[in-house]
Amino acid sequence: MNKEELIAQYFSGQISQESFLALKTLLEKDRAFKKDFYAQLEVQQIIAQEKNIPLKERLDQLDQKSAPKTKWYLYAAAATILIAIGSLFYNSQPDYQELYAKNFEAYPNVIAPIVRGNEAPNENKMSLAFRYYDNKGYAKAADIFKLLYNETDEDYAFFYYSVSLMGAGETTKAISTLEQHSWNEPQNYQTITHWYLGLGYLKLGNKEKAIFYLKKVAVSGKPLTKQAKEILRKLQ
Amino acid sequence: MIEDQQLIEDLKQKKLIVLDRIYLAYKEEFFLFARTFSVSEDDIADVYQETVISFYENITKGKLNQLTSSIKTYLFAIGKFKIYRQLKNNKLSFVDELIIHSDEELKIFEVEVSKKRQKVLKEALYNLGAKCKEVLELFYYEGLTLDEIQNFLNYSSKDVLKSQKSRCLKQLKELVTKRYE
Repeated sequence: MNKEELIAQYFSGQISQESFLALKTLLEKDRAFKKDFYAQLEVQQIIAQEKNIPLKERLDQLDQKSAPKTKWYLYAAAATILIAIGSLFYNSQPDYQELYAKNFEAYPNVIAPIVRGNEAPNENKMSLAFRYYDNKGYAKAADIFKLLYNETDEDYAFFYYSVSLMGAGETTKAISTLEQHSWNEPQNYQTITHWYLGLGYLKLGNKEKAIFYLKKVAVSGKPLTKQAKEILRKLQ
Repeated sequence: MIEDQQLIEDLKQKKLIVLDRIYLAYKEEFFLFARTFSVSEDDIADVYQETVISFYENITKGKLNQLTSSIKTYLFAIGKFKIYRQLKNNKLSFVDELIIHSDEELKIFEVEVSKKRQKVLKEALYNLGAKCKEVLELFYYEGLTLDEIQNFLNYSSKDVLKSQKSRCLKQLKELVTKRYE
């Protein structure tokens, strides 16, 4: 079979194993042939690239639709967190309840506004939970976040479940829940967990434990450091 | 396998929704597989898309009619070839050598074309006459035989078509050379 026929067979996609190997051998031996065949393969690839643009775009869109939710909100959360709840006045006898009341603020809802409209499978449940949460219906919110967590195993759902418990006044339950939990991504939740545990123990009047956790926050370098130091100053 | 063959039949009819399904079904596994080589995530994403597109083209252009293995095996065979190509490509230190990668089992050749040259070639193709473009597309992309093209475009003989095709390639080459000067 001549070279031209081999090439024609290759590009028609109907080439035998034998002819394919013959082509391969030719490429190794015949420099001029290689150059000529290379040029034709090049043309084939460039035409294919152009023709495949719509298909590639289709797959790109598919990738976007199926992409996991971004987790940047967790980092944003650390930055946007409640600041300056009002300065605390010196008090020789710290009132734990008052300290708690002044410092406890439900963690801002930084999840729902971002995910909304993304058609996540649990979106209805999630937006419902956040609606309760945003309107201080913490008991209801806690129930739904718990369900959501059981279904998705998402850290954020567990986190908001705990804070909702605390908001609902179930401090003891919130504390034991948080203390027993292990996060999927501890680096995102550790400090904020210590903060809420510190506040929780403050409310229970357990000064020792409150100091234990708030000290961790105070040395974390995270946005809550200043507030934690402030409370520690009042306690000691 | 029975279901796989049905999917192939669907793809022959260009049911892209079936291609979507296949694309998503093996994506995660392909990434896991590709990560065992030292290929970046971005490259894996590109390679996987290319793989699925090649797979689809082989079906629509009649290169693949009957599966002898599962879709997954076939898909991963293409993917593996493309990953190896990528790995070799990353190691290239000189540009002038003509690199042709091949895979005997899949019976494919692929060449390395630098980004710059791709751009020049695209422009050259764009500036080529419509008649020429049609012949080249039918032969190199659609995979029609010379006989089929002769019938399709009403050439008086196969030899006339052949010389037309050679002329077109030559013109393209000239356009490319001109761009480089």
